[in-house]
Amino acid sequence: MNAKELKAERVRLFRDAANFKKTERIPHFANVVTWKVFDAGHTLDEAMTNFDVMEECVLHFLDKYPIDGILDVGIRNQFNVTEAFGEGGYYYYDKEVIGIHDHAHCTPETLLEYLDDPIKYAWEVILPKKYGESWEKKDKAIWKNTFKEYMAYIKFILHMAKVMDRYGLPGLSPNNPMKGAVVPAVEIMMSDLLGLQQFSVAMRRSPELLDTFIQRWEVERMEPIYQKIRDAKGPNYKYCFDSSILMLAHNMMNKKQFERFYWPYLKKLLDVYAENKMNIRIFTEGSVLRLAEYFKDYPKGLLTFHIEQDDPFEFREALPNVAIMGGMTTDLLSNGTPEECVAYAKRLCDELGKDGGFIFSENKMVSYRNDARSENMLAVNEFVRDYRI
Amino acid sequence: MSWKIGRKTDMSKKYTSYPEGYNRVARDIIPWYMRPVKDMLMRLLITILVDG
Repeated sequence: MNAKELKAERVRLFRDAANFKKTERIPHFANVVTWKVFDAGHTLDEAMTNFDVMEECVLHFLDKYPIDGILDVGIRNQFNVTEAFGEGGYYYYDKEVIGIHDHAHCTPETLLEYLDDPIKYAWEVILPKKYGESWEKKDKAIWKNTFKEYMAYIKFILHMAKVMDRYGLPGLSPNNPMKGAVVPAVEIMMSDLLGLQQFSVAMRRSPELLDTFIQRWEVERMEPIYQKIRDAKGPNYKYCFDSSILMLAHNMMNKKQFERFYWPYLKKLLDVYAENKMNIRIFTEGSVLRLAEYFKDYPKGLLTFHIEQDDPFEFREALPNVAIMGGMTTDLLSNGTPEECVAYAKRLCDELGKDGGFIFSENKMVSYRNDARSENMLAVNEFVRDYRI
Repeated sequence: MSWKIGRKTDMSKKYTSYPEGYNRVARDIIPWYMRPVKDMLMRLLITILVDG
């Protein structure tokens, strides 16, 4: 089988699993991000600003663990562009750790101003605040150097797409940063615009403001997306899924808040995907089981939840109509033996995948050195690849 | 954390008016042969600088 055929075969495996069709084997989607840097014998600081080192780490991973899909091929955490521009980023890294500081681009008073014109707001408010006095001192030479690094970054992204092709690896979904991801209003408010703290307070003290933002977001951002989904006229079989959405803000909401700020809009999006018989993956960070009732009436095939903290067996019982991605805990990959990991992987495949509806993956984004032991990753990858139910 | 690209601020909306400084930078740094995609390039660059 050549790389092109292998890619098509893998897409079929993912789609069949999502559609609850029994597959000859369970596909393994690697929810692996920066752990591959450590596994290749490097430290984060060596790979984050050097495309050659990052590519070496990615190739090392793909050669060692022949997975069917992967979240990141080294393009997500690169710092060349921001470092060329100077100090002041929210992201930080050292040899062992990468992280992000909670940040807020807006206050409740300026939230709607952002919506009026995001580029203008970024230029006049966010960037001056972020870079402080040095913003005014960004001269032509700094901008030119930043642009040069930015072009190199884009070239790297395109290069790594070819690497994916060479390994017969399909992309997760058509979303990409160039086109703009499908981001529910509450998620962008919590992650970037208001930050965790202001968002929590605003849900209680300024609910009408959030309603206004969400309704404008719906009309200005989501309506064109609904139209694009309808125009697509069905699934895009170049990818594992037709869309990948991230849910995190629900963890900060009680049911009443979820029903007001999140569910009506998420439902509308899911209904449009359902009308077009598409497969979508939702990475449900934290836990989503307490909200199971909202998702129980969707037909099999529409939803695949990549679960993080929820127990996969309880999840299957609560939502038998939703395919499961994940299951393999980083806790076991990190602290267990290869035998224990394989025994658990077998249980996952046998109990969740016997009639389709299961994609093997790690429950958390595997990022830090101790998130997994190499021998455990190797053992489960080999097992899942060879196992036939 | 959840990783950079997964959380990019959505700057895809069409602008209404570019600030003067923005236009000057775009003129300074984008070569002539990339001008047809100038707005897309600038939007993504600003997104990286805002979120990174």
